[in-house]
Amino acid sequence: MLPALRPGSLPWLLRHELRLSFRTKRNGPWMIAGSIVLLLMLHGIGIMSAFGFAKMDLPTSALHLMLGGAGLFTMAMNIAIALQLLVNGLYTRGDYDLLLSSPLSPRVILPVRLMGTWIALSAGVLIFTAPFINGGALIVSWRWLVGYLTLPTLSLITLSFSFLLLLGLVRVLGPRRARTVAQVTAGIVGIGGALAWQLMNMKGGGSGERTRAGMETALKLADTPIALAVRWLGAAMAGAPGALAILLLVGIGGFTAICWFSGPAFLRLAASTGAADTSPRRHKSRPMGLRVRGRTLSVLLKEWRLIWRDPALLTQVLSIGLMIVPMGFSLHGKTITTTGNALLYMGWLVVPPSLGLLAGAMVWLAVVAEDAPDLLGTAPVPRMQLLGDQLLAAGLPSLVILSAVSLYLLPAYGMAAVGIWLTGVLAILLFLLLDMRQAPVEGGRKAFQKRYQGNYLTLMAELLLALALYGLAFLAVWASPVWTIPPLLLAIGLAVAALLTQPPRAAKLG
Amino acid sequence: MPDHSASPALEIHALRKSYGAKEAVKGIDLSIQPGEFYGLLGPNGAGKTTTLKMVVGLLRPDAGSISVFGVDTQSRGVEAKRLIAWLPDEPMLYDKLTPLEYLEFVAGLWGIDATHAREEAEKLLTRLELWDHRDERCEGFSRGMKQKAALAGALIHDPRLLILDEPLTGLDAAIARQVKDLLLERARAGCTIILTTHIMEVAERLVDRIGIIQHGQLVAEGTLDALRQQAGRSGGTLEEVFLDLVATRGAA
Ligand SMILES: Nc1ncnc2c1ncn2[C@@H]1O[C@H](COP(=O)(O)OP(=O)(O)OP(=O)(O)O)[C@@H](O)[C@H]1O
Ligand SMILES: [Mg+2]
Repeated sequence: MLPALRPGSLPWLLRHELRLSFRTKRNGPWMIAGSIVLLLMLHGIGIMSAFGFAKMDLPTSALHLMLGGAGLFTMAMNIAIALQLLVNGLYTRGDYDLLLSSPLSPRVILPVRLMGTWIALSAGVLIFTAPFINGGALIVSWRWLVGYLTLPTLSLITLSFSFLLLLGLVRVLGPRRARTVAQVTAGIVGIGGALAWQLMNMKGGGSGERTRAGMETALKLADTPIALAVRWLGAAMAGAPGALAILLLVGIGGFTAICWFSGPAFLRLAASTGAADTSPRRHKSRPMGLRVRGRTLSVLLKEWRLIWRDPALLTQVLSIGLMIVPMGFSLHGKTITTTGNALLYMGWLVVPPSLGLLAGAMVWLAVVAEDAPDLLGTAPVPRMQLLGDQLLAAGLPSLVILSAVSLYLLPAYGMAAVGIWLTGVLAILLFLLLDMRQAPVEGGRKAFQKRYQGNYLTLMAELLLALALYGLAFLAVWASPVWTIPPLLLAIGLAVAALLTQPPRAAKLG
Repeated sequence: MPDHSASPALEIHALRKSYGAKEAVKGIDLSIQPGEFYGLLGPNGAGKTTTLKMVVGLLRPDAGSISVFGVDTQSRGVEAKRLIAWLPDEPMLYDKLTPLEYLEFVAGLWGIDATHAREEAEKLLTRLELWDHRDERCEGFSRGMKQKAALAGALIHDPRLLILDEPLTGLDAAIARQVKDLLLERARAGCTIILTTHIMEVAERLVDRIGIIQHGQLVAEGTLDALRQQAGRSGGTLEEVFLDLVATRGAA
């Protein structure tokens, strides 16, 4: 039995919040098995890198610099996620109307909401760092375990900062533009972080060589003023008692202060975001009034308008495709010899998988997150034809970009360009098939960012697929485009079989 | 072309539907004549929405048959859907589209003739006092405005069978009046209308015939007078008759 908590108190509301967040997870046996396998794999990597790390024997200053840098990087990426989580919560409302109309003090509601977000944020960081922390604790020193303290503290600081940022944005820009700016900022920070990460990897050579080069740079920089600050953060992360104490103080103190002092500002924020959607947005009136188009064109136009008119959604969708672009940077300057004996920059090879990811994101919006399933469900059009239109709407933009890129490459690279095009078509097809079957999430298209929640297996499958497609593009360019034909035929067969035997369920269709 | 006019507008036979172990509809028979205005009443969770969703093809029945103007909805779904319009209890619109763009989309789906759609859109939007908002995104609309825009979408393709799930819930008196007038006008023009409602006054004033569903079964059916008789009353409002019937039939 849970202890009886005083209704309306902070722990009571926190328990409610945690219970809600655990209930939304879908924990099938496959999910659990998949998670265990993933965790074991990550631990293998963690232990191996701990061995490598132990051999390097870094001087403390360099170690602190690198740790601090990693900490800053984590914080930057977390700003993106924290902003998204805060914006999602505030603007899609959920239970905010209920909470805010209750006699609970904002000094209870605000910290609880933020703590819920903080737990999600920390969990996201720890899932990927825990294997390294554990590996280090096992192989190098038990003191690595301090990561379980420092990383959540960093998340807390990031969250406090993001919250203040959102408050400021709303005050300066008004609720509606603030939302867009916050989401676009989050997208840019996320993409920028990923790019930066790849830029660090751009220097050639194996990973050992790269680490050594990084170490040398670190030693050179170790005494500049900025580096001193970063080193201090690194020292805190490494568990140096003084620095750690100050970090904890800043994190917890700052959070408490924000919760205490911005209660009223939070109320105003929540009140204004609740009304953010009500100011009418007009579109140019057409003198002739309504224009009737054919069915397919109507569907295409509707899907594209819905994305185009939503700048936040548009950035999120585009950033999906961009996520893999950094791979191209890591290959920067590297070339392969194509079948025609030309030298092609390997960066082009990420075009097919990124466009596949883009098509996947679009099909999720068009098929899974349809806003008016009842309208489509009662339209006098066979379900398959409608689905075909939706797939076209989702896949066409990717196909156009792919074709443009291939045409650009065609004169110089001949068959290699054909190989990239064919791989791209395969990528688009596979991602369309995969993503149109995702389960709908609460909140429809506004919950775009949450579509992998409880769906991590799909996410992993997609990343693996992207990697495989990259490999196939390599093969098609280096050996022959013919290599793409068997998988393409297989995919088409699969598509037909899948559509014939089990069409995807439309959202909200009981 | 089948001769639609000779058959009932809606004919339901032994219809059943379960959600998992929960039986929502347990064998409903229903026959509604062309031009009839029919009201479906029943307590919350009785199975009204489930029944109607099967009629419009959003849910697949577990057993039983449905035909609309003689067209079997399961074997000839597309043909049946051409005759039907469905207005769900929560208006489903696209936030980023304007009402006019929404109507364009509906017209595209139903393949309506352009001139006709244009005239009809203007007529409907003007009639529902949305014409001045025709170029505003629906995201800023109140619930009543959304409901009206959705209703315009349902009417623009001239359905012969109009099915509305709680169309008047949450509307203010003036908007409710507009909607009721529009429905009566359609009914007089020969459109068959089925609606569910929890507002007894609506059922009393609008509909020709009432069916009461409880626990997934049709427990009583008829005009208000017929229902009074079934309840063993000589007078009384529909509310009293309804509560009587639900109490006695539900217990049986
Ligand atoms: N998607 C669903 N999954 C499981 N059970 C459902 C689902 N939809 C409805 N039910 C159940 O089926 C029964 C009938 O529901 P239905 O929505 O048809 O009732 P209703 O008569 O329309 O009620 P209301 O007047 O509240 O709208 C209820 O017991 C409900 O709990
Ligand atoms: Mg209902």
